[in-house]
Amino acid sequence: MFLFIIGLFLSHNADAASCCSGGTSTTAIITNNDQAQFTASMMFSSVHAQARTDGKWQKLDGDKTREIFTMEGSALLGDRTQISLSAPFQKNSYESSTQNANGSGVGDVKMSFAYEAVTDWDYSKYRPKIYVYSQAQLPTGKSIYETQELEAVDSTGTGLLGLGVGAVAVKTIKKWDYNANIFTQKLFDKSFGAIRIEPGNIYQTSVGVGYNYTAWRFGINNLAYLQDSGKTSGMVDSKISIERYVSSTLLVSYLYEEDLSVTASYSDQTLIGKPVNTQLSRAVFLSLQKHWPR
Amino acid sequence: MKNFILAFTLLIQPLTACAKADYVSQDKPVSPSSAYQVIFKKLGIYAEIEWANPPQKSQDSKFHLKVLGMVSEESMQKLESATLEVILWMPSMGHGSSPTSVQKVNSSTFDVSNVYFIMDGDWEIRFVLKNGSQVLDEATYSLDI
Repeated sequence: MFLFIIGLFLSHNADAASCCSGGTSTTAIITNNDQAQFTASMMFSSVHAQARTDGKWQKLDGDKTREIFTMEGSALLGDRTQISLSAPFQKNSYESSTQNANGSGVGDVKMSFAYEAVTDWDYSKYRPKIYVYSQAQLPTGKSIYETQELEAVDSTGTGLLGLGVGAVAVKTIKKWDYNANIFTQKLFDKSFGAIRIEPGNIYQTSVGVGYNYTAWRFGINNLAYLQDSGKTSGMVDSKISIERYVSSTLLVSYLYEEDLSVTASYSDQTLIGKPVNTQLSRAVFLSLQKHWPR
Repeated sequence: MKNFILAFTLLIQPLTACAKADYVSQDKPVSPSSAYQVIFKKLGIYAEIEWANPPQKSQDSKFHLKVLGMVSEESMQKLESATLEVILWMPSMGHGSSPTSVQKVNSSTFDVSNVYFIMDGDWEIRFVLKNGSQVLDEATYSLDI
């Protein structure tokens, strides 16, 4: 019962991210005995401050908020293989004493394929299940490089094609569960008008632990994100700075029925680490997940 | 592989410390007039930005670019037939803003409008002098919004 809840939050701990287009996240992976799962989630985030390239924080002169509604499905293909699809819709708002702006649109759609590389069919006491996965990010969101709006409210994704690989390990020991995730993604070059973008690669890792009590699970999770420096060429030859932050998440899940669970979480990017070149958000996340057992 | 290891080392490193908020002052320093200098090195042209209204986030700022001096007669001839392109650029994030409008008033003055900084942070105003499609010279002026 416990492990299926882990799969729920592994996918949603990076969304409260970054500058203008929401950073990146990995799609959900089924880590229990389900045949398929579907998740509908809503995230509300507010930008607390801008972390500059010199590491100093700068308060915005208004309120910038982001809402992301995501539908996500995962299904087994075989005993050890599965696919996932994630489709977000994002709405951004900015309001100050003198100005306001709104923008919305589809974010970057993601597809993934996962393989259970290390199984736990013999219920080992210590050996975790390990899944390796690849993920394709489609350039369906509107990029920051295309925006002309105040606070880039019309930017809903990276707008870049990406291919990534990662690995997830999960283990339950008595009432505690543990998880770790590493992921790296190559974003491909793209021209926007007369400017060509050569984005830096993305690296992220997360660790989490949860405590299970009857139908409840209480968890914490830390995710570290780094996007390497990139450059632009064409009309403007320029270097893009690295982006870095750590997102800390507290979450509680409740198994409503055997095939339905709800999760609420709070994520904060202002607590840990030395963020650079990113907008520091605080976010509340709500989700409903339906499971189909094998 | 080396970059991969380095990147993950960098990822782990910030986990070891609580974040320390080091806020920048909200009071923006007033730049002296000398800070608005723009120098086109190849052509040897020295110009100055004269703001019609100060640069602010998401306000339609305007300025005049006034040429104050140049090193040679040749530079003057090139400037007379040149057009100016002005690009707003946020170097840390690698993106720009909406296109500016440039009007050549005379051979030594350009009026630049629709100067629209869409967010707080570090910005560059990039000046490109062109003769048709040929780039004659470029200059960059940096400012903090």
